[in-house]
Amino acid sequence: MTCIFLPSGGLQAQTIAFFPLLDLTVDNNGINNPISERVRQELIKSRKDLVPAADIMRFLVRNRIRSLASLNSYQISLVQKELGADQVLQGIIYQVAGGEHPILCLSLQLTQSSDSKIIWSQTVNISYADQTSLLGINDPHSLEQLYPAVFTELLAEFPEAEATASTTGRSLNVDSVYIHPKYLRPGEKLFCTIKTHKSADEEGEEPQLFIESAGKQYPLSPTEESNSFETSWTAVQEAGSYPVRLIARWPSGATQDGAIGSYSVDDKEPGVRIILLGKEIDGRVHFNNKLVIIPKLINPEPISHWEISVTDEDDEIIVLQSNVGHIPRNLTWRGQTSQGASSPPGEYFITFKVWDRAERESTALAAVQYMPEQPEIIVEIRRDEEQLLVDLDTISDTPLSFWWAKFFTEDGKLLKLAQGTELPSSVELDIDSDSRQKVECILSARDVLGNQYKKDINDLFKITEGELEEVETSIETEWVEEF
Amino acid sequence: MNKTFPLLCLALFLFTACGKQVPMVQKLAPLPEQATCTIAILPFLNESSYPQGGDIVGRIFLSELAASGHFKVLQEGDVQTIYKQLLIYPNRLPIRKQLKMIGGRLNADLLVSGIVQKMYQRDKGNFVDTELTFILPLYNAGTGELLWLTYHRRLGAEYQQFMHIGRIKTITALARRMSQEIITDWLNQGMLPCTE
Repeated sequence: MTCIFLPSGGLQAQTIAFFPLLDLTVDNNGINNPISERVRQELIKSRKDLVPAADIMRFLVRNRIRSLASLNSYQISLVQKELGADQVLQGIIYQVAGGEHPILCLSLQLTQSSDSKIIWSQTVNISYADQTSLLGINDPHSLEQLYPAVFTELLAEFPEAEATASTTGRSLNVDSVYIHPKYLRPGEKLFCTIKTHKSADEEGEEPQLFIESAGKQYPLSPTEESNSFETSWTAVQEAGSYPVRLIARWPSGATQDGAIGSYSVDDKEPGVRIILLGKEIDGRVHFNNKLVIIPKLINPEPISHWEISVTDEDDEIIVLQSNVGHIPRNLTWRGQTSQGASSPPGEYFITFKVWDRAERESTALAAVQYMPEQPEIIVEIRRDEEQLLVDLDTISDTPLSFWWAKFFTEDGKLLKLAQGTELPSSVELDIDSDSRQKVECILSARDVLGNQYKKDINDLFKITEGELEEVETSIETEWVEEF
Repeated sequence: MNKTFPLLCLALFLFTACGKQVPMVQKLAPLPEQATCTIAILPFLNESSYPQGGDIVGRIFLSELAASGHFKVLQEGDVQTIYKQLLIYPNRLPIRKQLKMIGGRLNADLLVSGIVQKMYQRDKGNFVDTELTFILPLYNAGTGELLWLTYHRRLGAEYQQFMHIGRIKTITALARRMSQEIITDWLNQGMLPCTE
């Protein structure tokens, strides 16, 4: 499939700027000098008027062109201006293999430099397998032997001459566009900077430039930097996405316009709330060692950055963390400060803040009770004539999940097992009040937050005599005894 | 569009995976009337294991579209310049807003993107195996709307007529042949060529 666009007009010899071939077998920016030179020689043989290879190389260096086979319209116009070429010939090698089984697949593309129009394009793909004959006579066994077939097919329909084309209208050569901020609140100010190539217009006639957005036009004025223009305007009040167009008006009356970007007006806060996964007691969230915090957006939208802080009752910040991007799925606070120190028990306030892309802030605040202390059980002994009464109570405000008490005689016999979920409670032990036999007591309790308590009293009677020894108490981290 | 696009590709694949060997075109919206002449080819994505698969198929498709003589194909360099200006990665499909901007900047009627899904060439001594599968989304350059989705899958061996005659032996030749089949099919399906 080959096409030649042939506009009407007189035919004349054209100067062709042939650029080195891009070699995709190397990488997407590879170059293949041997095959490029071979194509060049074939074109010269076909009496094509080529721009010297050294001039092409100087042009690439001078204009800092690092990618082959992808000149843009502005660079093509420079080819015409600087090298005097009427046409630009670029090519790509897709497959190449030498040796016994040669393969060569490449394409060439001819572009009219006056209007960047592609006027001819041809792809060839020839491999040794395509050229194999029944008797194996003249089969290609090297790339060199494949070249005749490749170039015959490649250049068979190369345009002999092309009409001199006239420049079709005006064109703007925009180098870069910078619109900021991209997201803003109603009535905020926007800035737009546009940089053009050496000249805004190829013929040196400078057009008047305008920005059009939300139905209004704003003239662009030149900055101190050459070929740079800027303007600013106020964003509309209504939320939404607004396209930004660049309009160029030449003194001759010619006009050109095109979309160059967009901006969004945001009139709504994202809104945020936090869910604390702790134990709720009397309407307040409590935790003992780990608090899971889940932030949720009320009006979900992309978030620019977020921040979480924990303050104590004296309003001092003990934890502060922030990050850019979307909010995390959840966060965990283990009752420590940012420096890693343990916080004392008490009430803490968690503040979660988010900012959307228009820097609108939303805040959520929640209080939490940090209760890492074990529940303490107070034991009091009363004697009557035939019984020993053991009164158990707790001074902790946190409700108990369970408690149990086991009483043993000196010889290890279980006297009584008492258990429950609430304190105070009283346990009656049927023992002779005159007996001086030892009674051992093991107490255990756990509160609803998971704090565990264990106490081993070797001799209950010593409590009554005020001779209670130091007993072992500890916060249990695992289940001690099933009951 | 981003959420529905993979589903559309899957549906197209399921309906055509075992089907006939012509490009399958799913028409999601009508082409703009009298405005399908100027076409910009966006960088193709490569999901295959073939090195530079997206670049190779994309550039061959551009070359064949230009060679067909029916359309005005815009310079690849102009597309790349806009990708750089809009900070679009060439290995990502642009979102609708970006497509609209690309279309506006290039004054194009249609935008063609591509995803190369499978591409290989294996030399088996006596013959060469080739296979190529790709999807071409076609967008309205003025609105960024997805209009057509074309799925095409071919093996080089499918073109074999007698002995090894006709068999396609290079992946480039297969890409070229498939591109021609798609362009012919598009014209048959009602895409209007340039009138000038």
